[in-house]
Amino acid sequence: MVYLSKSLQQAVEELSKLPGIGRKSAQRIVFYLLKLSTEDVTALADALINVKQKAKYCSICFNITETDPCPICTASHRDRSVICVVEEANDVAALEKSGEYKGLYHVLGGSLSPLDGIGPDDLKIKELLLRLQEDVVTEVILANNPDAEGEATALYLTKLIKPLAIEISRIARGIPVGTDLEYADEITLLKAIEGRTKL
Amino acid sequence: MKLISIELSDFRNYDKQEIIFSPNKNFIIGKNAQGKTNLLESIYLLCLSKSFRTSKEKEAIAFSKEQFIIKGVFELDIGIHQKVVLICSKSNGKQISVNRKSVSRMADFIGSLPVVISSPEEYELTNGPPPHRRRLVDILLSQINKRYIHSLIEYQRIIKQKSAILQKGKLHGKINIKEIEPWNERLIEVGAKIIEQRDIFSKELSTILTSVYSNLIINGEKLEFYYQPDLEYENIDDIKEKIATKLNQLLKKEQQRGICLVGPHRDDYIFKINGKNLKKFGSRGQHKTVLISLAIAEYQLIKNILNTEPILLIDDLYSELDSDREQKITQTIDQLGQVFITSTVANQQNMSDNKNICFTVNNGIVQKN
Ligand SMILES: Nc1ncnc2c1ncn2[C@@H]1O[C@H](COP(=O)(O)OP(=O)(O)O)[C@@H](O)[C@H]1O
Ligand SMILES: [Mg+2]
Ligand SMILES: [Zn+2]
Repeated sequence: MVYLSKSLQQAVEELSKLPGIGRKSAQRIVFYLLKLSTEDVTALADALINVKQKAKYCSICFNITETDPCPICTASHRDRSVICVVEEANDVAALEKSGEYKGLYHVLGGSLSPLDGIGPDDLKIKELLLRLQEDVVTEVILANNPDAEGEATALYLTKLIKPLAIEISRIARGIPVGTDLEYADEITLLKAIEGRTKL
Repeated sequence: MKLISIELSDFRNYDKQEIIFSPNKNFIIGKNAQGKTNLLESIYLLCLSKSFRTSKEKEAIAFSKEQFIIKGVFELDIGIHQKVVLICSKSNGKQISVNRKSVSRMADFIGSLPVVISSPEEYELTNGPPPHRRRLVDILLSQINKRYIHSLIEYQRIIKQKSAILQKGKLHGKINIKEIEPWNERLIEVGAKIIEQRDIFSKELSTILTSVYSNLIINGEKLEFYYQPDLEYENIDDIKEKIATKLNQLLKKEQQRGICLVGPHRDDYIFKINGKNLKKFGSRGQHKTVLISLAIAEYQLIKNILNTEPILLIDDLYSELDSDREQKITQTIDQLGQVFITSTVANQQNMSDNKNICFTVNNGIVQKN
């Protein structure tokens, strides 16, 4: 085993807790950081602390925001009759990038996963139903991920929303409206085509 | 598609080894425990990202080493070369890159380099419990049908998730039916797709298998392969209804036992010779001939559907065969594309054909004869 100083070990330890980063990558990142100037490293550390201190969840849609409610929820030009349900805040970012969608969002904070102990109460489902009871909402788009958990969550939501007489449709998150379909892989396309029908 | 060359580092009993193959037949001759099956395993792993011997690829890292690397150069039918590198390390697991681009989803990779193996180490295919046969068909269908592999991945998640609910319910003595409902609905939807595909392709495979087998034998026996689904149905269109009904019937039992009792994860397949169950009545020689016929039939099915010749790996070809069968098999294999054949004996006439290459393996070192 290579000898690593204690502070180095600690940095590697912390970094390797991040998603998608193994010990090797963590080491590579730490060695890279050591080569940077103190100012550059401080800027990175400050940015991380800053985002943690300033960013919070929107109390309406649970998107990540610096102001509550978030700019999307307060924007006057957006269509308030449509809510697009997504799993995570970065799904909002992806859909916003396409610039085609003009409605509101609702971020569930994940998907049903009994294996990880995540049930309906651990997601922002009650909050969604409350929003839907306001009479302005006429349509819900379920943009849950096209995996096992996302599909089951979408089904669960469909059962709850159906009695409210609100139009429900399902899109695969892989293809936001307006994205060039050429770049989507075969399966995402299949899912999108199969899933386009009204539920 | 052909495998032009391979380079192994710290893979099982191979230290460093580079081999350039024939696009036709490659005979790999060696005594027991020299590395013949290991070499076939490395080719299989490179093509499929999975081993046929173990689900834990790390086991194949050479004793006391940190990682193994398999590099291969393939020539695709359109003439271009494709470099595939598989690294498996104790700390970071398995990674594959194709032309230096890292593959992020294995499901996208599987099927791009089709491969088929026949090995006596897989004798449980005809002799053992159902999981071996399900695995055979799953790997075959995953290579020829992208929809299938995605359905299968989703289905396996559904079963795991539903089991988690059932387990928890068993522990606490009660279950919220509302929580199971979405998983059961997906189980019906995705399960039906899997059953449909298995139904179709078992029939196709059986037709090919019957003809391959009849060409290898002289006594006119008829080999057939049947799908034995967990759910009985007459018409495939009724399958969703049937799953739903059985799920309802067994709901209580599933909760009592805490496991999923309904669905294609409980399917099986059966081999029959002249209508008799091979597993119960087959002789050793019949089992062996069926295993080889099966690999050749899989090869042909893949070729028909993907329009490319898969790589065929045949381990210990000549053991347990009488000379008649041996000769017929040799003739049949001669008609196929790139084949890798291992054996403890080197006595076949077509080994001398100069399109083919004969190698000797000795304690993890391969030499061209
Ligand atoms: N992870 C490993 N590291 C080193 N050697 C291994 C490993 N796994 C298996 N072996 C060795 O490989 C040899 C068996 O090779 P194999 O290819 O199965 O033999 P055969 O030529 O009979 O097909 C044995 O000597 C075994 O000890
Ligand atoms: Mg062997
Ligand atoms: Zn908001």
